Amino acid sequence: MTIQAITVRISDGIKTGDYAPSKLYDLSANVIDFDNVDEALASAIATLQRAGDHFLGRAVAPKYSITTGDGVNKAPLPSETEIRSSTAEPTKRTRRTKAEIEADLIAAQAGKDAGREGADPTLLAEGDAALDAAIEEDFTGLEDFDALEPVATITDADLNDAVQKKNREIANPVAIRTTIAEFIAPPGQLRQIKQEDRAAFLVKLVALKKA
Amino acid sequence: MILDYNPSNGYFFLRVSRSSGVDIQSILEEHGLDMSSTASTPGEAVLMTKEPYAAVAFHQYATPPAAAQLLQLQSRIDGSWAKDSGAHIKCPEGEELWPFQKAGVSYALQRQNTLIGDVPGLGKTAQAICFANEVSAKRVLVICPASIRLQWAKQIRRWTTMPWPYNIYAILQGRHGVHPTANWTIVSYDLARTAGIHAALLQGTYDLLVIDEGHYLKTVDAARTRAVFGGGDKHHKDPIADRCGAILSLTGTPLPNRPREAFVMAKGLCYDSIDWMSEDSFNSRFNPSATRTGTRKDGSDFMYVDERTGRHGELQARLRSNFMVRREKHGPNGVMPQLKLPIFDIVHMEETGAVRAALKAESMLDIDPEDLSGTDGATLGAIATVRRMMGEALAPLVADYVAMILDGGQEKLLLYAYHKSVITFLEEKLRRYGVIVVDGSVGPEKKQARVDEFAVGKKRIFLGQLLAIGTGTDGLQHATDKGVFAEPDWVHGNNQQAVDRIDRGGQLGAVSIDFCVARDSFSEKILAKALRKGQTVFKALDRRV
Repeated sequence: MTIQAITVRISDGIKTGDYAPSKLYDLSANVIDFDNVDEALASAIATLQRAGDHFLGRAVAPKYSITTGDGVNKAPLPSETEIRSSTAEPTKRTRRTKAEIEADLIAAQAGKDAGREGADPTLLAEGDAALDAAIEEDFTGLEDFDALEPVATITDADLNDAVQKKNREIANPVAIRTTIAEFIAPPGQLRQIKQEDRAAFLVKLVALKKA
Repeated sequence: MILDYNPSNGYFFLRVSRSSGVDIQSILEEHGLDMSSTASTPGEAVLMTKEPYAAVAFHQYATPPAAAQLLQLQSRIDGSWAKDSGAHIKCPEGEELWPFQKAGVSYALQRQNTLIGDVPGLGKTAQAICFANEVSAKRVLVICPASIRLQWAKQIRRWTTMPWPYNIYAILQGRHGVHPTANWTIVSYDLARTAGIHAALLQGTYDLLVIDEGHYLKTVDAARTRAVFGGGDKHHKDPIADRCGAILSLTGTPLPNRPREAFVMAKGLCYDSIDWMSEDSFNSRFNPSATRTGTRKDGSDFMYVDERTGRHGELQARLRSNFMVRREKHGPNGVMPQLKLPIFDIVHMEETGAVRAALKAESMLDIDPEDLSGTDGATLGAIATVRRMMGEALAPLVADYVAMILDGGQEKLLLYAYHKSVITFLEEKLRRYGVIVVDGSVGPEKKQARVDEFAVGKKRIFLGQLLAIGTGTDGLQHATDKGVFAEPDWVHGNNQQAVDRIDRGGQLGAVSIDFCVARDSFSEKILAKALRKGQTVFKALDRRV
């Protein structure tokens, strides 16, 4: 089996970002190909879990899904490392070189491959400490939290405030409705505008002028 | 009339011939159009508006450009009247929704939040549960009046397609707490606003929130409104609605009295529908009021509120096109043509000594009962006393009247009263006919058992406290088509709800309702006002130009 990706979804139970956007965190990461190394899977999840805890500032119970090469689970493959809605600065950690990581992995795999043939990848076993450490360091490097800018979330309240302000300014609700309709077809509501479209909507809204 | 559209300035123009007999002034007031003094001529009035919600009421007079401009809006409004839908809606085996109920569910499926405002008796509960079936809701929270929590549980078991085992948890007492994993949680308004239950409800998330009898949330500052939709700065900053994916509000009387009562629902369900107006802006647009000074007979001054309504057509278009589906039972737009229009009769009772004393007490209050102007706290207490006096004075006459109807061949009837003392008197006086009593002290299970007993048993009178049987009572329509109000309520919506207990699906006869009042009494005047209020509500919700 070849692990293609791991997605960890950490939340406090809120269903969608629409009504509690600041409390939902999605952490995704591509994983380099490992063959038959279930410890790597367990360790990778643990690493991402800790990262999630760190971002939330408290312990949470993560749910994780595994996308396998044979498509057993249909979780989407993330195209790039992605972290949304950061509220706290993560601790800075020292990065290791790529060569050091690869050397550790090759050494660890060489000693374990024989015993792992046919192992069930969903069974999470204790790995040896060296491998765990290697994987943890590896993912810490890949995520590179420091390099990522947190993406600002535009909440429903932000949208409401913006349209109320603009409506007071231009006194033209018809024009505002028309602008909203460009982003969400009626009878869709303002709050149903997708998060990724909200910034563009606000730009258009701000550009509206009094007739 | 001709409705035209000028794309260059975005105005709709309604041209009305002055010789056509159309009341131009009422169009100005009720639809919010403005008169164009420059374009109007002695033969033709030209009214104008930029607001499509105001213009759409006249779409049948639209020129092609105006029709094109209003097409989408009108189709959404038509959806709110839909009598049928081709959609397949999930129901348990052996159950089937009426076609208009399917259309209601289809309407809701196209929206984030919906108000199902069908008049009472059209099966809103079944629509809500089938909506939950359609969206495969795993967790649903139902907030309803306390008296119908168990009836909700019964209806869920009947209509849900949720695979067994599922968990329906009705919170009957605050100390029972909230079940953390129940699929259906049913809670009363009063419990939902208590600190403990409210906090516990906020611990969970819900795919669907059902607000039954949604008009209970008509007041912005009420604790129950804050608990559900937020607002206020003392308690309940975190509204329950924010923990829910979709909201269905159910009520047969979205506006029990006046247009301003639509504000909470419009803001909570679809703020876009009212252009994110503040409450003050909303009221000044649809239900303006001003404080004025009046003079009593003794020369002293009093303050009163002069309240007006307007722009009914525009309000209706805003509600229907955005979040409200509402169908009538009767009339050309009705979904139950087999139901005959109910006949209302005001029956004047004779003037006995007790009635005269009650009338004198009413006159001593020195208030205008039509708007209760000049009332203060002490007066309000006196009003309650005088109201009870009148009810007790009329009770013997009502008993005789009811006996006359039953002796005249009416098999069974529904008798409504308000005060406990009146109910006790009528029960005693009419005992020989067999009386089943339901008042506020009767729990929901017993209430349903008594309704069932009335439907199949030999007792001929179902004597109900107006508010206790006004909501969530089903089955009386199978037993009788006759209702008598010993004491009409002063709130139009409550009378309407009470009448709808027998004027609903399953009724095979022509419903006849008698309101027993003393001539020139407050009740008579208030009833007249209630009927006028009903007209306002009709214009704001149901009238089609």
